[in-house]
Amino acid sequence: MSRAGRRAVDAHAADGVRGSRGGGRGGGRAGVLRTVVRFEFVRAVRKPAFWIGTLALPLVVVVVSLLVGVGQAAGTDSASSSAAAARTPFHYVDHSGLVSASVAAEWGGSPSEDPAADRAAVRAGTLDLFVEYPRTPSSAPIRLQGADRGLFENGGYATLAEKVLERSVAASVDDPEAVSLLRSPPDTELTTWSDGREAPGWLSIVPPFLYVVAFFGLVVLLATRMVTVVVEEKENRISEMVLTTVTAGQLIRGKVVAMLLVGLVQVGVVVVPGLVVALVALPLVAPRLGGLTVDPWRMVVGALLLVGGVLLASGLFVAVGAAVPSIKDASTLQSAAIFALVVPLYAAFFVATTPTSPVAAFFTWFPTFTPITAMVRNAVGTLSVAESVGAVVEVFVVAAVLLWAAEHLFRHSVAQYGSKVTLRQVLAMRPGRRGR
Amino acid sequence: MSGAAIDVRDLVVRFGDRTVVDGLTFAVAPGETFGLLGSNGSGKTTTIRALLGITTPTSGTLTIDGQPFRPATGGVGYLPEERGLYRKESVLDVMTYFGVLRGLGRAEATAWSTGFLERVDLGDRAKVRVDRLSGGQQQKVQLGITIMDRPRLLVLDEPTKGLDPVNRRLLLDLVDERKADGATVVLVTHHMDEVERLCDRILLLKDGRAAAYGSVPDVQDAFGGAVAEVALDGPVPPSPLYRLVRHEGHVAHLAPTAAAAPDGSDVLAALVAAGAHVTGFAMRRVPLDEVFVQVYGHGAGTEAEAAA
Repeated sequence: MSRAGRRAVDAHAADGVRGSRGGGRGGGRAGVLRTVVRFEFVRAVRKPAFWIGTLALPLVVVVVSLLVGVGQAAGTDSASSSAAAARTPFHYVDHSGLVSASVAAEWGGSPSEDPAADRAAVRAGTLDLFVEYPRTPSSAPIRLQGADRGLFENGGYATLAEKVLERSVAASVDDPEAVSLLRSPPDTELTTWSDGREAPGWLSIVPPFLYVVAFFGLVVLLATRMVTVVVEEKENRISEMVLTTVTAGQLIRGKVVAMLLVGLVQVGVVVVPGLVVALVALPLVAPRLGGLTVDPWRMVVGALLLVGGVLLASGLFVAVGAAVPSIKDASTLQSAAIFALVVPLYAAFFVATTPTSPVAAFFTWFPTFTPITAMVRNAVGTLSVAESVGAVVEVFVVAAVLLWAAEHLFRHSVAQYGSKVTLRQVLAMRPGRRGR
Repeated sequence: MSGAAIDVRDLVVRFGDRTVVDGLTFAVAPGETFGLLGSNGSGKTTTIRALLGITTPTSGTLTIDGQPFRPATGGVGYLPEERGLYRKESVLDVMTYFGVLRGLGRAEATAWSTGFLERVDLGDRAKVRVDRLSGGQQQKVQLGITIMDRPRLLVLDEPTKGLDPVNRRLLLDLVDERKADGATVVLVTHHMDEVERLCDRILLLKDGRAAAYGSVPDVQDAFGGAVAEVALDGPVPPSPLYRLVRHEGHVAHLAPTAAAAPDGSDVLAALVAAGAHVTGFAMRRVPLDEVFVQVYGHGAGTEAEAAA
């Protein structure tokens, strides 16, 4: 025993540390809650693994974007090389009378003198391409026989045959506008009206749809973390020490709040750089974003659904953690909980396009499906005002019920080491004197 | 008991069809050191869990200082039998966290923890993760957490289990200090020497019921009163005047039978007459471990640990 240590402990005793003889602990309920939140939050965010996991997602997005960009640039070169390959000499037969010999010659074509021999030459590999233009190209296909150049390069044969026909037809037309229209179809610009106001276009889906992405990301990021912190006291067999210091209710509420804050940090890490990039890029792409309108109603509904949905998901994950003795035992239930929340994504297109169908109604109002389904329908504008209000209310009510039930389950199971909570135990649970 | 630090009346705890505690009544006076004894599965831990609100009792009343226990009230330090801490956090962080929860300021909790760790020879381990400590070191940290706010009631469930003799003594010294400070101590242990050294009164639980309850001398008297502690070389000769209780090394404990004089003179005379080489003789109260064996039989301690 060191003297310094002894002095420190004795001095503490001599000073008459308040201890808990009066006034309770931790500055009251709010103080205890704050202490639990701080402890859980700080130890989560100061681990290197947290930052590695958090930064990995945006990093992967950036890397993938760069790779796609590089790939697209390479694709341009590839297209050029395809065009060059298309000028390979070929033989053709024209039953339509539309193909110009001079145009065909420009692309390497020459009329076939013996179609059967040319087909045989292609099969033998001595001729690259033989083209047979039908009598009516508008209704019958152009038939091509070509030497195999691989799945992607073979597409160049069709392009070549179409180009020759297109250029031949254009050469027979005097009007430059007609020629231009033949080469590329005209653009259209549609303006629709609803209740006397211009209706939003396709791009209006993007802002409220970001809530769906955020919800999905939060569910994936929060699931393991939430279950782990809830099961931790049981797994480490520390529940009894903790529960003589704080109530089970204070403990679980502190953990939930802390994990939600951790989720906010994770979202912030992704969103903040995203916003910076958006602000920098906006002037550059602004002319292309004419249809990108932000509907305040949809944004508010989406935000409420996101908050309620995250609380609902938290209730599910806390219940999973409360029901199992260790994180190892949680995997099956945790996967089921994640599935119950994100499965509507698979039906999202159907629900969005057939909002009045019974299936859409089921997905919209089934408690764990509501957040994503309602967010998707809100994004595409098929969620009426009444349905929006109903969905938001439902999500918050279900979240409250789930959190209450999860806390109840946690209180009764937190000191139960090494065994799962059975359905019989759940049914036998009654409000007792367990700390609130 | 009026003004009792702990008052338990008619406590019944059932898990399904199984009755773990069956109508238990006892009280612990303020400032008293109370031993709660029993074989594995006899209901000790369940009784404590019910007292501290961790297990919901089937019936009965349990109070600490006249009130049902609430964590917010504080004043109770509990070292449970299950050893565990937040394993991936540093020792100092864990101690400070519990200190703040127990009503200390953050700086105060850190300072106290640092001093305590120095005292228990863990000063250089303050910043180390808990899971890097040995079981005994973790146990010392747990005890520190239990006493850091100077609780008026200490409940220690097998506090010295797994400790080497040096650390066992250190831990008992710390308990002694709390006792000297006026704290009430409830000690759950299988070490009868600890009970004899520390406890004023004891309760022996068997199958969830009180098998013996009272001061240590009263319980000893109730279970055979005195034994002769004999120092001798060689075996103990048989005699109708005594029964051999234990013989370890050169010391034997002999329980006088009804035919012997209460002062043990007949026992000594019989030993000498039988040719035993007696080098020491004294009459003592029957040791508590002998009482334990009498109550629970020779199978005590080997029963399967009940779920409770």
